[in-house]
Amino acid sequence: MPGGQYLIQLDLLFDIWLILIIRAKDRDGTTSSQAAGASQTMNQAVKAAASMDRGEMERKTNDLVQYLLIMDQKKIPIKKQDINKHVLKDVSKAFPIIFEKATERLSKIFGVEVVELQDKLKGSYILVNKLDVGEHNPAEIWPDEENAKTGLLMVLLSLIFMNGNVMEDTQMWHTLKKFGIEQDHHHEVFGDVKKLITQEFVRQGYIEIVRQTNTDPPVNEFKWGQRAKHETTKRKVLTFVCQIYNNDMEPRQWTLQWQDVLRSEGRQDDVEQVI
Amino acid sequence: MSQMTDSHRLFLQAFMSRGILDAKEVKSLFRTSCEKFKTFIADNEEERRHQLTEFVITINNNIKPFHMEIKKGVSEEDGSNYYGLVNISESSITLLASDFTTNELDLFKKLVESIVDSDTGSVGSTDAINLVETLDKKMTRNDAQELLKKLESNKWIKVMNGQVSLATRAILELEQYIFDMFPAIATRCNMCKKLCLKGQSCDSCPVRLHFHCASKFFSRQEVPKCPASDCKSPWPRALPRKDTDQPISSQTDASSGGTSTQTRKRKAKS
Ligand SMILES: [Zn+2]
Ligand SMILES: [Zn+2]
Repeated sequence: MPGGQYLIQLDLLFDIWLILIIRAKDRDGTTSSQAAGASQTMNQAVKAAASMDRGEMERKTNDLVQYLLIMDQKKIPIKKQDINKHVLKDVSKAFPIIFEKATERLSKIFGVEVVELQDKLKGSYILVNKLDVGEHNPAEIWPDEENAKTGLLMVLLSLIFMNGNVMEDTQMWHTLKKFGIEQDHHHEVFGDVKKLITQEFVRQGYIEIVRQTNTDPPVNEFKWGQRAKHETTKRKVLTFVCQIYNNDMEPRQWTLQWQDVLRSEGRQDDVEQVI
Repeated sequence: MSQMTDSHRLFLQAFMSRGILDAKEVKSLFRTSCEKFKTFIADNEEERRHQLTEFVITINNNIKPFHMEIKKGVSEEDGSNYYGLVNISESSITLLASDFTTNELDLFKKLVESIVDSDTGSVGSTDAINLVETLDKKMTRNDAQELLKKLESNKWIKVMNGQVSLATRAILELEQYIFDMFPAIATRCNMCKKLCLKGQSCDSCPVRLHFHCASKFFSRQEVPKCPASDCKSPWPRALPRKDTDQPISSQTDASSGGTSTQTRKRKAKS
């Protein structure tokens, strides 16, 4: 993509506000339990669970389901240690068993999946919607009070993706200026917009900011956070960008990005054909 | 117990994200949820209503272990129907807790108390903000102002003409909490037996009626009298129009507020 030419134009900003969370279809890979080194813990868990009576097991499982649902409303990853501290307490040794049961109920009744985050966020969980509501008009079925914030988030994710999955902060802020968003200015909808982008979205796991120290001066780079990777897909973001172009563009016309989409879907053969 | 299908799950998720929906929104959500997953939906209006009832019962049976329920409520303003997803555990106020800090929650509790304690079911917004003085931990008036905005946008409170009252969502969610915490000052409507914050009071006895309940009840009487069998005092209040979609006019509000200095004010259980 030619440098400096960004996809989203000011007059289309309004459309973006209307596009809501495109929830995950992306369910590849990640499972909530980790196989390696777990057998010791698992033995303990089985023992701990066996010592609980059925009523207690039910109660703890249901409390955990409720806790996960409530905490997820804040959109902040839920830590295993908090689950133990606030819900499981004296039966926290049985964590893997109770957690498994709670996960099953969340899926069966609420249609959400519990996903464990990776790397330095290991031991934290997010809930991801796994209902397939299709590509279009999520607005109709998924009305969201935080409409505008979601719109801004989609803009950020789009910019990062279209720029090759990473964007330097100076470039990011320069672009956002075209939307009337400046890091040191109070925004009438978002308030402290710098805080929203660099703290709230980061804490929620939508955006990751990586400090590159091998340049002088060091720069901060914006990337997709782990929650973003679970709640949306590259294909959806590219489709979103095309929609903003009033469907004048086909996703495959963005050659580089289209290859990226195919690669992210594990379709390496198709990538070679495109090239 | 009937199993949840994807249609049920989508319906439930919308409730989780919105908190409260009016009757019309519920109907259209029901239709969308069924159509999205090719669930059969009846053509006949009557059948469809029956189907919706069954649908909600299935969801409620499944979410009961988590102390949740989709509950029907009636707006105190105009008597229209709402449906809200509520938390039915003893610690009802916990559901709110996720969105708010403990200090904010304390202020909200104080606000609920003074609304319940008022005769109009509302307090002036300045008085509401002044409640910061009663908090153990410090909160600025600015922060209190922001909190009111947040509560309003989450549909927990309503702010109209400088008056703060509890919105239908809060009443649905907190009805039990209010009866538990303020047994001496929380009153039930004599007609529908639900919590009554906004309404009309009898001059001679403790009877209270919602505006919409009063208009329904008195529409059958030529000379309005208090419904309590041992009272039957005349009911000299302006009656709201029946089945109106408009909020009750502020004039009616004021006239019922006129009975203010009654013996209803007592101290809450602390
Ligand atoms: Zn009533
Ligand atoms: Zn009376």
